[in-house]
Amino acid sequence: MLGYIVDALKTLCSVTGILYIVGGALLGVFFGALPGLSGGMVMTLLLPVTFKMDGVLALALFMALHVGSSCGGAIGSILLGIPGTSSSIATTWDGYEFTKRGDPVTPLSVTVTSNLLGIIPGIIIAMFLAKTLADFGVKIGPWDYASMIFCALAMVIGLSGASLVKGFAGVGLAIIVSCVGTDPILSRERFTFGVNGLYSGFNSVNIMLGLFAARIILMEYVRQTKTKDASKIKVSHYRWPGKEIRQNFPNIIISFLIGAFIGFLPGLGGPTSSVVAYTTNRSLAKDKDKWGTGVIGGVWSPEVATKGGIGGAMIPMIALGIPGDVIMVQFMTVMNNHNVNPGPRLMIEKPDMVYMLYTAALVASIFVFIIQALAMPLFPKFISLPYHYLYPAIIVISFLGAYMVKSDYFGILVAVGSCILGLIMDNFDIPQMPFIMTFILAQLFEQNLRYTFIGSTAGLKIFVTSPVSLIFLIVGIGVLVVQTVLPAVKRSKAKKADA
Amino acid sequence: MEKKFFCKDRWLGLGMILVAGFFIWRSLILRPSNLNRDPGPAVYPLLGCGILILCGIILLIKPGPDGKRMKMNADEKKRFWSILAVYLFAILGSWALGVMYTIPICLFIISYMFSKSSKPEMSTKKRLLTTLIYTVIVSAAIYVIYVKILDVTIKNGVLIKMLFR
Repeated sequence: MLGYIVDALKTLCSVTGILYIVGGALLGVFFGALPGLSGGMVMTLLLPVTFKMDGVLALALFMALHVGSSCGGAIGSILLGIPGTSSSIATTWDGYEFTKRGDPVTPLSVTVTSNLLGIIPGIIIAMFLAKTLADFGVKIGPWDYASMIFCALAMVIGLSGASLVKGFAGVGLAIIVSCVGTDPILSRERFTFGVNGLYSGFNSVNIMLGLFAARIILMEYVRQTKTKDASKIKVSHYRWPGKEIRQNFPNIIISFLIGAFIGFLPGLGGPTSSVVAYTTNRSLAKDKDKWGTGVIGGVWSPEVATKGGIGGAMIPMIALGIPGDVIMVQFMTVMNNHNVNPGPRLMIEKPDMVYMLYTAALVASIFVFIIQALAMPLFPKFISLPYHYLYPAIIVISFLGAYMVKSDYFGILVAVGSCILGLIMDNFDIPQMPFIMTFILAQLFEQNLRYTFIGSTAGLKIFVTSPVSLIFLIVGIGVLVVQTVLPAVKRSKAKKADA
Repeated sequence: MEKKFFCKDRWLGLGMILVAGFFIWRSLILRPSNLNRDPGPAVYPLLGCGILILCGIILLIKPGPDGKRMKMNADEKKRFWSILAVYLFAILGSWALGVMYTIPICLFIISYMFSKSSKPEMSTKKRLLTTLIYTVIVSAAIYVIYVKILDVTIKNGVLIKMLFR
């Protein structure tokens, strides 16, 4: 393990490595801070570019972007009361109160410090847990794997808070879209309708460019969201929040554990972990009545939980090839672009890539800490940039990226088609997370499902006779049942209370 | 007010059933597998269609309450269709002219549109000039990064090929 980390460090210490990490961290912080945009969007824009990059360094760049963006999201929350990312919504509740009182430095310093306190231990835990999980992953059969994918999708649908029916509609739609091209076992054409561009199926890069870049900018133009002017807010230099750490130590530990655990579960991630950590710590706090009026514990909780989740989310992606969120989907896409399949064999076949991910996260968290600590007085300028110059460039870069995938206009057609599909899904409240997760996992799911039939003489019975498969099925179905029954119970209780 | 029978969820349910019906028909004409016990290439799309039909039926029987739907006022609708037209031009332009010409044209139009909505007080002449300067700078930067550094192959569109054959 140490050897791979040293090798990764050597790569990161090269001129290109430093450029990627610093550039990625800066871009991530910047885009993460801008309300309406996110680090995820810049990652989507850069996905086609990774075809031309060294795979290991591309992952380092993406990790730096991810870490930077997770850390930049709180800037808008604290200075404007507008969260830069959905993970920093809970930071707004107490963080913005400090700015209103004329003290934005305390919450900003806490946010910057939480990069170190949340990310570093999370990555160290991930290094050990992912290895154990991957060892388990290589031993399981295709039926177990198919049940595991079902469980992950059920959790994404069940725990994301969207309507179950519409979540499943997204899954059904993604299965059909993923079937276009050739089938993964016999390589026979399926739903190509004689169109050349469809023979190799829809590329996930084009779909993500349409869904997450072109659609978002289109809606920003339509809605004409006006951002408050932050340029007049005065922010002085970073100060180490030693006193705040001592006072909130149990809060930090609880938040980290919540973040790491929730980050590990598919479909939840930062937005949920930050709110759960906030509410848990508020209920445990002596001054719970003051939370929401500018208590520093209310900034530590969501920030440490969000950053603690970065390591947690990497575990299932690296060890089992199952992404927990859209960001991990993008990491998987980068690997796929370089013909690497994430999953249990990744640690055996491509340990350099795996340890680069961990090392890049550790190095990026230190760089982001330094960059944010030094650049803190410039934060108000970050979020006051003219959007009308940024958005058009994002649109054309996403078109060019879509073109780059196969050097063909068909990519742009798919990206615009995905943008329109995303708008239709928005209109009908169909969540996009189950759609994109299913699309990414579809081929793996089909392969394992069909290998189960081919390899098992027991037929479908194997899904319930194999203990591993049975556990995943029970968990998956359990999540869906609870999600269906709980709202009904709540409604009947409310009716009784009204009566 | 009485709720309309064909609310959005019912339209969605109906649409899903129709889409699933089409793909069931296409799946059933796929050649079966010759591998022993392999259910064949049709089974997976049929699973997707089954999910869609089930969801469609549920939505038809029990549509949900109107959630955060995309409702737009007249100005928003105008902006929506205008930017969508530029997106469609991007497809058509990259097919007919090639991305080399389409990207700067799209960039100019979109930045003009954004500038018009964010700085309405600016005169048309000044707006055209600043948009043009912005387009030239950004297009040049994109060209250097993508074509010169990343070595992206830029193909001409069919019209350009015909004209300069």
